[in-house]
Amino acid sequence: MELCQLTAYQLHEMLMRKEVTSREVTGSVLKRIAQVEDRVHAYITRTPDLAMEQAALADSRLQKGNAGPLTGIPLAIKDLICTRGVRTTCGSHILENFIPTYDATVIEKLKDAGAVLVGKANMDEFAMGSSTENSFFGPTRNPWDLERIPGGSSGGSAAAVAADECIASLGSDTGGSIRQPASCCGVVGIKPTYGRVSRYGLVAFASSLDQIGPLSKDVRDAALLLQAICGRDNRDSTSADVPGPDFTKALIDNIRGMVLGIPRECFREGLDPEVEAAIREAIRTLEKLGAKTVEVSLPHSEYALAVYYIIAPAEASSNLARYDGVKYGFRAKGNFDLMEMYKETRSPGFGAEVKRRIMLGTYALSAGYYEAYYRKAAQVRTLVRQDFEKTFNQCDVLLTPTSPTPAFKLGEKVDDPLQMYLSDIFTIPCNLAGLPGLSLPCGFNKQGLPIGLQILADHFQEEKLLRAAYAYEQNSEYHLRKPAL
Amino acid sequence: MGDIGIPFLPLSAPIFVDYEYNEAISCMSRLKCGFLPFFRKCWFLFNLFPAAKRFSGWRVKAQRLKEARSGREKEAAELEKRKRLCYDAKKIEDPPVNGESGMKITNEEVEHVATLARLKFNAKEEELFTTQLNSILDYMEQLEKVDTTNVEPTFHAVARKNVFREDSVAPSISQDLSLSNAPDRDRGFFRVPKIIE
Repeated sequence: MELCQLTAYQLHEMLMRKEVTSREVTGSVLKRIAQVEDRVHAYITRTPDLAMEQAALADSRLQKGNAGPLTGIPLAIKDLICTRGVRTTCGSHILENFIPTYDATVIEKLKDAGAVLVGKANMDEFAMGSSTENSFFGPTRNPWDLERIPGGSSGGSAAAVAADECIASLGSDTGGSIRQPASCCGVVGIKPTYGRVSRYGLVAFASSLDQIGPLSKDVRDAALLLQAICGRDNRDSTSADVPGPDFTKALIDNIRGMVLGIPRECFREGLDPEVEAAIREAIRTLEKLGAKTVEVSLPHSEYALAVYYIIAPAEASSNLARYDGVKYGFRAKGNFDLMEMYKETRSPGFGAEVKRRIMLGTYALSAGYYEAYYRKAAQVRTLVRQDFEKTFNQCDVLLTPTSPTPAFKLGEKVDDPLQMYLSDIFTIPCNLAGLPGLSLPCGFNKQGLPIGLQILADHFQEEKLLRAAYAYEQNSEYHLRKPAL
Repeated sequence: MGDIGIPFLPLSAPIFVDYEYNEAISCMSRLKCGFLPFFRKCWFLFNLFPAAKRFSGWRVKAQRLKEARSGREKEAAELEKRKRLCYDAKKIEDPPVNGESGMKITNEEVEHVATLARLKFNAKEEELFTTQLNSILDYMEQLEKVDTTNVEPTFHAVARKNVFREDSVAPSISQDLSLSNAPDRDRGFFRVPKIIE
């Protein structure tokens, strides 16, 4: 077994026992990248030199004995999290040459923890998409089947983990952008409670929905990474002032007495039969382990997609107004007046999906339509949120499929935005309500494509997610399979 | 660049090298300030001269060759190859997805919204966007079925209000660093096209 195939926790133990050095681990990951990156294309920017420098630093920390669980562990970072001095493109032409002058809070924390950054992961432009096909730098491919999408928008982060091109990674989740690619690539992904992780330095898409979270090879690694990045930050006023618990304490192989809610709306038309079978099997496994199940109802979840595709584009249209060709990013060359300059810069600067959402959002916020669309959506959002409040009186966590189908083929849904949006039907309600959610592998279909189980919990109850997920993982072996690349 | 604020003008002679002949003329004709330095006039006349133009063309080519040597063009070409699928403008030529929707939004409205969003589309793109936006808005119509009388809107899932912190001095980035990503800057300022007529 190569070092790059191990988990962060396994590597940490080896590093502490001085069986390996971080330079060896990083070297193994860089070698793996060189072998498979041509086929997978998980990265927009690779930083091998920086990685080796950081690995050397980590080794000296390990020597001195002041190392933490992530010291010397090579990680990939989604390319919309600002990294000082390292190009951060958001998968967009307009930020193609943008070099941040500061680190995001999560990057500061990872650097303090001694982690090694091997590169910036590919993504749908400005995190808008479910397939990573909307990247200006070309699509990422699913390591399980190179003709298929890795999910999105954190497709590069998920594919890099699945292909062992990093040990773990960070993604961001606005409507499912961590969980859906985790499901498509057979890895673990957590979208933390809104406010759990600082968004300072995360390039904004929809500010009331965005959260940064980990993608990893198993539940323990996800917990370790979440532990490292969470916490109150003065530079993000929406980051919550709640104490960060010790998430690893939740990793106990025992879910006796835990109540699992199964929303009846999930098993509906459009759900792939093999996905349904895998989810039902996972529920049975958890029942055998001593959990109780109860059927619950989320009557307004069917409207969540419509709500999301008003609120997220509305916030995006406002957030993306900053790309004006003045302060940073691309500016069209030519003899233009100010208005022309904006239009000539923004029109080629953004891809089709981003422009579609800017248009949709601008329309929804424009005079005469605000009440009908934006305010109405915000009201239905309240009802979606209240549904969850009621169900969490009856159960500890909810179980659903992460995505209605396994990974689809490249190009399959490109022409039909609405079909593409439907890939996020199970993940979106969680973002609207600000809840934490986790996806982990719970099976494979006949073609060998991974299937993901989604677990949702109430605000700041990540420990419950981790406990249920860890117990399941200890009694299954889907997370141990590797794609043949 | 182009139509620039007056204070920076005398410094920007090389910009004319980048421009075609006509653009240089139009640029010059917009400069109604009568105190052009002498060398600028010379430069202008020099550009009018066909032989000189060839010379300046040659300079541009030499510049490009230099860039090519540094491998930048090669990289750009590679990137071009990798741009694919829905990002690509070629998709815009594909047939619209759903033709028979109720047309909530017209071509004219799309044009108006595009202006609000500081975007512009060609006729084909506009057609496609109109169709796609209509099919998406049709989908949104289902929200009308939900009774929301007396329901408060949720703008933030985890409600917080009045988040205060100490108003204390903290390190910040330098002027030079904050301008480091600007597409066009001069002497500590972002440079923009002329704003006031």
